[in-house]
Amino acid sequence: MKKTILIVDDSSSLRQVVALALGRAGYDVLEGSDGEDALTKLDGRKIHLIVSDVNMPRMDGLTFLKQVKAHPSYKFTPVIMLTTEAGDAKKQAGREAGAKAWVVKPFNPPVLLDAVSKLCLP
Amino acid sequence: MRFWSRERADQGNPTLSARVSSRTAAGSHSGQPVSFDSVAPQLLEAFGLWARHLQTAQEQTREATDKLLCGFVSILQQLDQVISSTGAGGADGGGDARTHVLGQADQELKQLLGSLEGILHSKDRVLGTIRELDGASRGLMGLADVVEKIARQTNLLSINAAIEAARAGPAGAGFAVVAGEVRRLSAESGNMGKQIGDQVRRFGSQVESTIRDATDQAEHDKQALDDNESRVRQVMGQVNEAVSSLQQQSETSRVISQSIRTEVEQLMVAFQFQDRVNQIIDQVVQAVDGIGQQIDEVRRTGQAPDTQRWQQILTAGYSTEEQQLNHASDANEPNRASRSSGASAPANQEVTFF
Repeated sequence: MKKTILIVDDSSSLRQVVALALGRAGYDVLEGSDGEDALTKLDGRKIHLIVSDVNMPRMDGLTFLKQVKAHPSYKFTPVIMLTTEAGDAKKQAGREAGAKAWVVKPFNPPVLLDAVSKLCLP
Repeated sequence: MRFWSRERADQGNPTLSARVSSRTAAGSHSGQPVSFDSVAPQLLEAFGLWARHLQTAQEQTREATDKLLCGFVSILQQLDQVISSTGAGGADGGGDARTHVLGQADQELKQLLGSLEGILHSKDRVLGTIRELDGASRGLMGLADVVEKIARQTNLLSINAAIEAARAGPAGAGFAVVAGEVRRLSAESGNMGKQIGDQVRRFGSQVESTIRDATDQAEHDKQALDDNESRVRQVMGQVNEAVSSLQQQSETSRVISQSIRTEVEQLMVAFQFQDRVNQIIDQVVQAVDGIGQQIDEVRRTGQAPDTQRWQQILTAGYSTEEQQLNHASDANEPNRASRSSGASAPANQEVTFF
């Protein structure tokens, strides 16, 4: 059975690129256009991993991450932050909020896939 | 922007020391100082306009990029179809398919040759039977000769019997009648034997003729079968070459398609620039808005922002490394027009695991 990954990014082109890489690696992909939209995808279905941007309208990635960690059904779902933010302060904030990994854009698909396969829930 | 940061913020003087065109300041003549208040509304108007222009450019870039990416996805799907239709198993899989097709064709053609060979064997058996018939007819001819010979001997005996019956006089009259009948029967037997011999010879002659024709035909058929087998081998070789050539073309097509697919995928990855450009433009729009608010505040309070505040306005919302680098290089090399690293930043190879 395919594993499901939720991609959260306000850039549809970025979502397409990530979805292409993950889809070719055999994952099912769900998409959210920002934190608020992504929260509606947490509807009880099994999600094995979340890849989220940080800077997004309406609800940013770190707020979304905190919401995920507070969600009873998804608090153990690993989250990878995929962002243009390269500063240590933001990384630290992500770590404290419960992110499992931090990948800086532009990303290399094999590198992201490697992180996904390492962190994905069984 | 720079004149503001260096000449206004550093001096803390709300009077604009820069010279602006008389067309941009109400009623001012070229070369004369203008007040900040007189150009502030125009600056604000310009800032608003720039922000809208930037947003328009951003939106158009986003739409175009999305369309391009949709096109790339469609190209990838079509390439996937080409690759799967040209042999998903790669070169070895294609070779197996070719071997299978050729093997099947070879088997069917061999079956066809086998059927032809079976017909020839059947003909040979018929020929053998005809030869046996020829042997039998020769035997019959021998028997007919024997019948003729017996008839001749019987005729001689009947003649001798008639002579002896004549010598015996009246006592031999009855015997003479019998001898006469025997002679007539031997004559009939002789004629019959001759007729049988003639018939058997004609029959034998026809059988021999049939055997000659059948033998010629069998040799011809054998030659035809050999020719057919040779042609089948030739055709099989040609089919093998054709299939091999097609397979090679198919493999070439598959390799080219995979190469194009890889390039398209790399192009799609390169389109991450759009996300970075958006982040940078968003920040510029935000900074322009912040500067507009600052101008209002300067007009209201008569105080320019201090350096720290000014830097906060400029750096608020920085997210990419390039922005930080641009900012740092701007401070170190104020006349530098731009950095070249921005959109062409290489993909990051590292993941920070927590």
